[in-house]
Amino acid sequence: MSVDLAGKKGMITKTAQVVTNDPVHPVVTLTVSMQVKDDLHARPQRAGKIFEADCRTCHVDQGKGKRGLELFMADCFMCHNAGKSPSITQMSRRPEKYLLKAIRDGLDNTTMPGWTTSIGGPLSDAEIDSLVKAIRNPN
Amino acid sequence: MKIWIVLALCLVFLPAVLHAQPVVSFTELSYNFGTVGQAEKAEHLFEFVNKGDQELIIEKVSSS
Ligand code: HEC
Ligand code: HEC
Repeated sequence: MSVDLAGKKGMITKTAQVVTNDPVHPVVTLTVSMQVKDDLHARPQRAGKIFEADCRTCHVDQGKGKRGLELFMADCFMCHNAGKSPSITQMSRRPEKYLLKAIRDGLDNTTMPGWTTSIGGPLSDAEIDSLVKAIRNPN
Repeated sequence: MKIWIVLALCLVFLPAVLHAQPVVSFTELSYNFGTVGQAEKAEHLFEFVNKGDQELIIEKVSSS
């Protein structure tokens, strides 16, 4: 069974019906499923890569000039929504110092990059401070 | 007496005769590819055997 993936995205399932002369199982249904990602996202990436040319239009530039929750929604929410990475509510329980360090320096062995300009990231101290405040007081 | 033996034998073999039929048996009915990129081609081979005792004919394969 083969599936053409061009232009597809998200969860895909495809079924095939096989009709035989087996009187007990005249129709057998076969199913394949897969999570299709575009080529930029198909392979696991080194964390800091989202700051590079191919990636920053979506992962950095949307947040330009924004602060606080708006900045979070633009640059962080795509990973920190309900699901694999902690949500803003879960992170709000973390100590301020921990949040600051995680955002500035990133987390080893995850796709969370360090955002501070002092290690080549796109966010100033003021922007990072505004994020920590927004996470600690999401309302 | 003889007739009874014949009848009994018939009873023993009757189900076997009735059950002479093809039996399609796939090793798996579904397959998950996990995460794949758009540029890739997802291809999977489903294998089956005929576990019955008559010829198995694949009459049609359709997909959706
Ligand atoms: C067209 C906009 C766009 C571009 C360009 C883009 N991304 Fe993304 N990226 C997203 C969105 C939206 C999400 C969240 C949804 C998702 O997970 O698919 C995301 C999620 C991610 C994630 C976390 C999800 C995961 O699968 O772990 C990583 C890592 C990532 N992107 C890396 C990159 C890298 C590296 C590049 C450049 C090679 C890139 N992205 C380019 C829009 C983009
Ligand atoms: C490419 C995806 C991605 C983006 C974009 C991203 N993060 Fe993360 N972040 C992660 C992952 C993955 C983790 C680690 C989750 C884990 O512990 O497994 C993480 C962890 C964190 C943590 C530590 C949470 C904890 O409870 O341990 C904080 C704080 C955080 N991110 C804040 C941010 C902020 C603020 C932004 C936006 C400036 C952001 N992240 C953008 C993927 C991302």
